[in-house]
Amino acid sequence: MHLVFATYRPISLIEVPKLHTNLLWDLTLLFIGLSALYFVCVFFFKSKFTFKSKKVSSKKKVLAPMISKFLFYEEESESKEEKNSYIQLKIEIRDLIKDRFNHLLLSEILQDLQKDVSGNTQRRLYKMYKDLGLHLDAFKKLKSWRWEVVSQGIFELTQMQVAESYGFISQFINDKRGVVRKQAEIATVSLKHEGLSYFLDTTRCNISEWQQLKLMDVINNLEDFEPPRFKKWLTSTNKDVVLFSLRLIRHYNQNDTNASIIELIRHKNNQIKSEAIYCIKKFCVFEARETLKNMFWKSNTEVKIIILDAIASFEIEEDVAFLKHVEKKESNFTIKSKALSSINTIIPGYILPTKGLSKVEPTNSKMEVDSESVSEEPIDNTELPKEEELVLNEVDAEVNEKDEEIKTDTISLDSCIAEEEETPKIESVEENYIIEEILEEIEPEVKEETKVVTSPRENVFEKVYAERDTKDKELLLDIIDKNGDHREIPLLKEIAAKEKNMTIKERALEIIFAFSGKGPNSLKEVEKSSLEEDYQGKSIFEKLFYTSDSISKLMLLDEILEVGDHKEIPFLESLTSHSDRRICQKAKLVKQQLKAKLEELKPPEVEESIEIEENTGVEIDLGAKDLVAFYDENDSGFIEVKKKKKKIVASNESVYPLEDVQIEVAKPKIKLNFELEGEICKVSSSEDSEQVLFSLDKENTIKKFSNSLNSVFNYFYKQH
Amino acid sequence: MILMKEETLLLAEDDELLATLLAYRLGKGGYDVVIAKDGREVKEYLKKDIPAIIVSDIMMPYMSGIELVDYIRNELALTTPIILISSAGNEENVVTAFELGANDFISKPVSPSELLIRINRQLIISGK
Repeated sequence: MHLVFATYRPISLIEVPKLHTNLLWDLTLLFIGLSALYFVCVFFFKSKFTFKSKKVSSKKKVLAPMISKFLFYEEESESKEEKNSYIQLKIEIRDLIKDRFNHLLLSEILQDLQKDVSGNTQRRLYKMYKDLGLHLDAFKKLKSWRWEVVSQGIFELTQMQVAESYGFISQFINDKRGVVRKQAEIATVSLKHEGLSYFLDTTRCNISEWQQLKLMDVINNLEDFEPPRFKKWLTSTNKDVVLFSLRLIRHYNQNDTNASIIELIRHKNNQIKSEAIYCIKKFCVFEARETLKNMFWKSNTEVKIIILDAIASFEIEEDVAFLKHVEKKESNFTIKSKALSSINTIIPGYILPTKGLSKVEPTNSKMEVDSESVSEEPIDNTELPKEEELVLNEVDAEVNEKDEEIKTDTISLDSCIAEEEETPKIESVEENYIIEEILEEIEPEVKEETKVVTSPRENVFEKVYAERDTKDKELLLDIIDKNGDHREIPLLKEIAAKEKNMTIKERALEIIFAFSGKGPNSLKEVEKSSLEEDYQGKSIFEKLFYTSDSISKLMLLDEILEVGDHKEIPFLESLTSHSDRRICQKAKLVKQQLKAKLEELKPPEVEESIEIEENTGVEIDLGAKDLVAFYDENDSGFIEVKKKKKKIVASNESVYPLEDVQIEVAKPKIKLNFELEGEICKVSSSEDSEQVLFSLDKENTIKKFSNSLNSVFNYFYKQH
Repeated sequence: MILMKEETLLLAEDDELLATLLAYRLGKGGYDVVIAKDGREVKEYLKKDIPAIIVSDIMMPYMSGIELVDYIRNELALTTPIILISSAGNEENVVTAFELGANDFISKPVSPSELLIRINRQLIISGK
């Protein structure tokens, strides 16, 4: 017996469906039938449309000449035959339109034609449309329950300017169906001039932006349209009506409604608010400035920009402060930029570009008057003491910590409108700009050169000034004197330092003195008060110190070390207990260094000046030969003129600044020119001196002397 | 042999209704108006005859009004006055047409009376 084990068994995965062959044949026949039906339908409708279009075309060919003849018939000029022909034509047309197809066709032809013709021909077309009673068909459409038919009827009546339909169509102004309502709005405005007022009075629905544009277009195309005073609708409860009215007010320049418009700035709806601001801008409603400023902070970005634009359009300088404030407070870059551009619109060139400019090197801080001792070597700013570097780093760090915005892209924009004293770089750029302006007057091409320089001041001097002849230099100085201000001082300093011609040098110094007095009021006051205090034996830096921020204070301490003297010691002592740890430490350091420095600065020359001090008076270089005028305070009203022993001009109180500012080389060159008022009393001479005694008008002389001395102090104070 | 008919006006307009209307008005104004539906018909007509003036729509099948001006001025080298009818907002084409040698233009919607005046003026200018 054989046992057979099935190791392989076939399994069919797909089985052929068992379909009856007849069913397949039935399906085939069905699809063939459907295909045939489809082709029959296509053929039928194609033939139908072709037949219809041919019929329309042939009818148009018949009707077109009839319409033309009808339109251009002129009763007065035509002959009798023509008149008969016209009457015949009229009868013919009336017979034709009895047929529904012809009726519709004629209506269609007239509507098509009115688009292509204008003037008298168009008016005749409208008349013909009504005369033939074609408008009645459109009226029937208005009664339809289908919105598209109603809309079509309104459209026809509007196109053919059937004014009689106004009453019927205006009922659809508040229709629920959007298309019908919009068509009715256009028809109402288009058919009668008073339609616009009716529409604005009646509508309770939204008026879309597109619809407003269409309505505006219709209004613009109305003949002999006299717009109503749209201020009536500024109080409408429909915000779209208010908005549309504002736009119409702006369009028709109806500037008799400023008070209402100002009120609308406070509207909750931003669109209305914006539109009101546009009106204010267009009509230059200055009274709205305060409201605009007040609303600024409550508005969104878009409205803020529009407000800034409006404020800029007024071009009132008082608004610059507000714009600067906005620029400072706002975090949005677009608004900040807009604020800056607005400032520049009000005062062109107020904010200058800062990005993409070449770096401006700091100008030489020391001014050397004496040409003999002018150092040709540039000051190396990198050779700072290590401690000073540390302090500067600290200052930088503080700047970074304090101003978060400085980290952003707006860094340059921020710095643009920041206080000038905080932005030496920008000031330098601004200085350069002023110089460019001045130079442009003399030599326009120079401007292009100065734009690309890396170190503008230096290059301006070398490229523009140094190569000029004396006459040109004088002219340049005249222009600077005439048009410039304190910002030109660095260039003038350079001219004074490098110029060999004494006349030009003196002229430059003269302008420097003049500009020193022209500086910003605040600076001037600080200088003045500092000097006043200086006379009282206090530190010249004290008042300035307390009016500065902490960064400036640290910088001022550096300056004290640089130019200070023994009077600064008590002041520095007082600062050692300052609440700010950095200032406290810095003050201690500076005090120590200053003391050490003052110890070193006790040369025999100082002792010479002490000789003068012993005289307890003021020795004055009269600038003539070797004569020195000596005014004795104790001997009231008398002055002694001696042969000059020393060249320095000094008194008890005035020694320190001249020494401390390190202008020893300048001492021989300083001349104080002032008048002495009084009467000569006595003249006596000895071996080494000639004595002239005269009664002095003490008050006036001191005043003049003080003024001269002030100028010197001012000048040297500026340098350091 | 080409014959010059001074009173003939060639009106090239694809809109049959407008063409008929204008033709009727211009015919009443004293012109023998020939209507051409498109640029091809204009070309064919110009091969056998030269009108006193041509009034053409800018937008036409087969050949635009600008191409027509170019064809008449540069290929046929005719000085026949050409007045173009342009649609509103099609002023850029008008500038091109003027550069090519068109004499005048009128915008749609057209006032037939105004067109007639312009035609008369062009004929006076051209001395025909």
